[in-house]
Amino acid sequence: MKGNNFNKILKLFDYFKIAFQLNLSNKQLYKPQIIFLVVRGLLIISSAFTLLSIGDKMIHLTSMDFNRFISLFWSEFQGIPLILTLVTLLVMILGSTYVESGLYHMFYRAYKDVLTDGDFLTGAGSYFLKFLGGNILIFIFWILALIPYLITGILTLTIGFTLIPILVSTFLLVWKASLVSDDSTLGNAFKKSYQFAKSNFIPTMSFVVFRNAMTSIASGGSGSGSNFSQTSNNANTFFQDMPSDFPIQGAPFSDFFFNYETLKFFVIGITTLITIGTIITGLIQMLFNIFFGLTTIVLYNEGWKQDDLDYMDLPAQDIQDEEVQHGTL
Amino acid sequence: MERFNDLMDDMKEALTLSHRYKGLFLPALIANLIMLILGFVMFFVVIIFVMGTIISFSSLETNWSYLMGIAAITILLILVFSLIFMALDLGINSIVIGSVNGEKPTVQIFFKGIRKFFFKVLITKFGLFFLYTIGFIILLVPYILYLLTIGVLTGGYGILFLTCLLQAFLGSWTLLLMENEDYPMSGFSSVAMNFKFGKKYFWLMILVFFTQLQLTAYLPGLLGFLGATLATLFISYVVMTVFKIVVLLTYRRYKETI
Repeated sequence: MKGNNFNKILKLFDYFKIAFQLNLSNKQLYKPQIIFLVVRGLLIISSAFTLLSIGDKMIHLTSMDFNRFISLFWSEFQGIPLILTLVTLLVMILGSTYVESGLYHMFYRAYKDVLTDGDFLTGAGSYFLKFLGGNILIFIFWILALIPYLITGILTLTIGFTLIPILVSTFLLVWKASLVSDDSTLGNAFKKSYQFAKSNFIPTMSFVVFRNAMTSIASGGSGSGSNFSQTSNNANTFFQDMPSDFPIQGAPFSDFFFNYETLKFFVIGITTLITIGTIITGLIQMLFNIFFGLTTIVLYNEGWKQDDLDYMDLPAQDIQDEEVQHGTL
Repeated sequence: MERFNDLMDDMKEALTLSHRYKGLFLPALIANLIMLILGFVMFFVVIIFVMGTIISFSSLETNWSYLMGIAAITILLILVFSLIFMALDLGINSIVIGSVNGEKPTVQIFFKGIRKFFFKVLITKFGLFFLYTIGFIILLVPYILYLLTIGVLTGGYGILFLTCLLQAFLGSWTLLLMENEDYPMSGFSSVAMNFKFGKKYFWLMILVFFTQLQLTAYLPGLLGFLGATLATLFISYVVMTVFKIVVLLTYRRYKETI
């Protein structure tokens, strides 16, 4: 590894110091995510309970065909349950982007040492659509790239499956930071992100790998540093938790093998447990998201400026080439 | 805050030393090769064992001596390789301490550490094995309860925290024993010192081992399925070596306060 790249990697630890300091001195950075997690949890629980109450009403029907089931379900589902489900889905899909846009603005304001109470809403108001647009573009990119990605992954003996997302993350690392720091357009933000990664490729990729390693959790987190996929997981859980009677239509519901009351109790228990688990895991992940979000802002704004590196007194610069070459053992 | 900054400096220093002395990672390569050989040998032992068991049970009279022989070979293999890996760990400690002192890693330094501390560490490990066994029996029920409650509710973080906890309190005693070579102490005194160090710098050590465990779990995946199968041990030893330097530097920084 070239000395300059190595020095740049070492410099990352200085950016971690700054991010940690910002983390400690700006506790209000945690507020939006905590509120979001609680709201999300409450919505999941209330949606599950509403769907269960529909199940309660329909459970007395002993036999029915599929069409009748659908029409009965729909008649019960209209009104508050529908609104609640739509709100839950909307919060699941858009909530994390909304929170993220507000948070990134807060990160930047904290970095500039001018963080105030209204910064979250100002940031979310100004950047939400841009963040959403960016996320949609990335999503479309992945859909288009899916077939080449799979082929490359197989041809490279599965190395591509992990390396390609890392490469993409490297080139897209700072577009959000660029949006809030430069107040630029979406196109410019992507361009700046690409240029940033291009001129600091190895250190930027090292940061992405380190961030992914730290945020990939034992429960199978995405490791993307974003809570978007976490939302998708919750959405899956939500759908899985919906009571489904299709496989046993026509059978008596009071059958010995299918005790509805037991199933209901089980669903309530599991939903509550998953919600509490999601909130706790989300709180732990929040620490990493905020820390690495702050680091990304610091990285983009201080990002290995040449002057900075010239004057840096990094131990790696003292390394003698001979020593490296002739290292024994 | 100050401690976090110091830790970051220590990590920089550890990376610098790793960059300077590539020889630090030769034992990692050896460990990986040993593991591959062990895997190869165990594959055949398992095949022989399974085939033998089938033949033995399908014959009129079960050949117990054959089964016992295979079991003894397996246990012997595990013991031998455990000793080899223990020696390797001591060798790594020795070159890590040497490199922090500014010495290039050499074969002499590597074996010096093994020669000097092998039996002391072995005896202590036997003692610890009994303590671990007793601890395991006593704590089994609370541990299962912990897994089912905190472990599940925290999505795996609770289990990871427990591993970090064990590492923070008991993961560096051989390194500390060898570091204090000039003030010889028993293995158990070193365990006590490790415990004290872990207690006093609790969050710092948790952070160090959390980072180490996360990197160890994540990095092999970057090499694809084949790479992860063949080089997992190499990567985990490389990460472990770097973090041994971090622990050592942190220990030296706060040595006076323990």
